[in-house]
Amino acid sequence: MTSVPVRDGWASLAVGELLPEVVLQVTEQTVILVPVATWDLFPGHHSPAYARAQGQQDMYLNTIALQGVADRAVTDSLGPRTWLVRRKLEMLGSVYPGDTLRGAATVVAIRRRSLDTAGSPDGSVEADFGVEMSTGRGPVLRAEITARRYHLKEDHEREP
Amino acid sequence: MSTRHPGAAATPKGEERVFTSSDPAVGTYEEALAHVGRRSPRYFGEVPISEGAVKMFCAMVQDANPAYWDRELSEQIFGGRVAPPALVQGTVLPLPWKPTEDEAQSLAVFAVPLPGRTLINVSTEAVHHRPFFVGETVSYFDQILDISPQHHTRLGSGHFITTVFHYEDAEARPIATITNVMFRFGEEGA
Repeated sequence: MTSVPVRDGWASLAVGELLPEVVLQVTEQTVILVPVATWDLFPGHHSPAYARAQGQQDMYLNTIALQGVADRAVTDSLGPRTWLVRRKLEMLGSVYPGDTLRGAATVVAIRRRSLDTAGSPDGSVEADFGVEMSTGRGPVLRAEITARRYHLKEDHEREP
Repeated sequence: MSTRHPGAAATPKGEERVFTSSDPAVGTYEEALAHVGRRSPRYFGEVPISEGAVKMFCAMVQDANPAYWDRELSEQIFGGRVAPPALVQGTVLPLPWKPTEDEAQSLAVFAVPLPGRTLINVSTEAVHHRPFFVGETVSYFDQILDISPQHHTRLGSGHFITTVFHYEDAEARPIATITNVMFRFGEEGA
């Protein structure tokens, strides 16, 4: 077992709360990590020349990376016991090397329910969030995220 | 650059041409409409999800979530070394080259013949049915749901393709369902 205290932001969560901002300085290395980390070899994510022929300013982050940053807007605050069950993400603009990507999540709804004896004493809780992120050029993504405080006994579906 | 292959977009097997994100099928909107409802074969990730893949993804987006960095904690919370949900799409994409002649991945979305020679994602909606873990091999297939008439955007004229991707485990149990809208645009010869 880990001896490090585990952050858990679920107990104090309130509707209307704006969670702390997430900031990512996007460098050439960040974008080059797209094919490294996700195996996405679409040339818009590693070739500035191809991206410019598409009408883009430069090579740009892919959808998988943007999803990862949007998820951080929720999980950075709520902690490792959080499992994301739904994410709807709309791309409003591209993110290039040199950009500062920043944004935050707002708590839209919280659903709490009691558990039986097999559940956690903290109860089960699920929440909806709205996420908006931008660069210096303006908004680049808007997302709706539903996350759940994970309970191994209740949610774990793997075979033993 | 793509060449025109009307009729070459049926579910690819054997000798059918393989279309990719950087070389999608080219044709007319009328030809494209015949693809609504078509689905790709099921493809498996080349390798099981590795701890290295999880950490590299987290390094890219600077995600310090201890569920992805602390093995014991991840086991304690999730019953395994959990992977970031956003990474599921990055667990199945093909290698650019292999020494063997396995059937290449050919997704239904890239076999849709349209005038646009390039593409960009517009929106995506993911439902994650369960956590997935280091050591699992993910499989997937896609199906075309809708192809829009021509639209004019700041990137140019083109068509929106709505596709659903099903991500499953080795026993074909669902891991995630992702509905994606992609814009196909760019003039012929561009």
